[in-house]
Amino acid sequence: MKEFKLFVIFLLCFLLQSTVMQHFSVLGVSPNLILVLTIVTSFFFENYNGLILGAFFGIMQDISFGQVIGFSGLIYMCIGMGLQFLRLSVYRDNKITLFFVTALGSAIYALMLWGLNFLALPLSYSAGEVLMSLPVSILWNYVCLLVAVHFARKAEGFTV
Amino acid sequence: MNRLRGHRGLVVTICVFIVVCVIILFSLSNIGSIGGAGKAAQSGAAAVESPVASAGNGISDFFYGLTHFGSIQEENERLKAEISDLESQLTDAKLSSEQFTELRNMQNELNTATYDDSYDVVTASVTAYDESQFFDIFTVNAGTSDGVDKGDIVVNSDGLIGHVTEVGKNWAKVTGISDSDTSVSFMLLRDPEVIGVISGDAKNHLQGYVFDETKSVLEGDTMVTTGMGAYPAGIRIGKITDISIDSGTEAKTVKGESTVNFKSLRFVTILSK
Repeated sequence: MKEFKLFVIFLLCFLLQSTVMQHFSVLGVSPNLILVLTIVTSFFFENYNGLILGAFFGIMQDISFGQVIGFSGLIYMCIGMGLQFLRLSVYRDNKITLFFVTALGSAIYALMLWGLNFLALPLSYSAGEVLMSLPVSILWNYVCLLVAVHFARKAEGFTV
Repeated sequence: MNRLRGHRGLVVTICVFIVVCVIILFSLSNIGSIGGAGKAAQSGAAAVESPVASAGNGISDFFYGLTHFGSIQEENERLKAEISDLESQLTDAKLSSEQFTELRNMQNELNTATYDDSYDVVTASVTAYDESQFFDIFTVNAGTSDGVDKGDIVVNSDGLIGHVTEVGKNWAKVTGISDSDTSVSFMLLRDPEVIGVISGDAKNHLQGYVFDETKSVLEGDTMVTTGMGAYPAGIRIGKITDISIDSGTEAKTVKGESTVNFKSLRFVTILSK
């Protein structure tokens, strides 16, 4: 996929995430569109664009709402890197694999973000509370991921 | 050099990784501050977020109207009756307005003016929300060009929301009182002699303690600001939901819930000095 086109998609999702997605929250949890895009672009495309853009928009997310800038960027980047390696050893065009990857990505994101913030700040959230909201987060992200994969299939460079 | 060209993606990734780590290290030394570059990026984002948020709210209102048509009609009838009742109350209130003016003059003479007349009031709409669960931080579309400054107090009709933690020309970042970083001194509306300190846990819950454990505190008591510290007196903070005695320190600890729903904020009022 052309870098500029991908940048515009990430930008649109970043804007939707911070403005519109709160209207679609279930039990206080809404889908993480930047995470979904990072997963799709790193898992189905053989380049590093997804994880680099994930890092960039993660930093933007932290600038807007975080206390420490860079945590989200680092986590998206780690997830993207991990998926670049994982993509070579699994059959990607399978809904169970996609669910597993979404669950793994969502869990890593939530727990790493909690862990890093917990180490840096006086955070009153416990890991248990993060885990409690994880099932809804995984389901929401999975639904968005299926939609994103559907559109990504038409893009240049998509491989299964 | 040719070997590096063959691994261009990997090299770029490593460079980005290093940049991200440097940003984290820099940010850790200035927690809560986004710096000049961050402010520039946030200004750009805020300029685009404002119309997107308005469109999102419009779409949300449209679907809410479709799905809640019956209850909206009922609410409309109830509000009409309420307006008629308030109009008759207004007539009575006008009679006592002279007394009120007299009291206000006395208040000024005694130098105990409330925030109504010592603060500039700026209204703003919320343009972006924090989607992580850890912080109650949001962005509003008013900034230094509207007279908003760092540390200004943010309220709405439900009560105290928080304070401005970062400000740009046309945006301001607001941190809610339910964020764990913020402590507010409170008194009970029922008995202003009961004073304590409360802080948040970013889940719309508040927890704190009362200075004098011999004073009576009841579940459902309304907490308001005392005027000590940054917040002016008399703003509703929340309701007390639980009271307990710490077995070690014998301190009376309280838990409460904010009167403001931080996840559905649309408009706020900024009290600027």
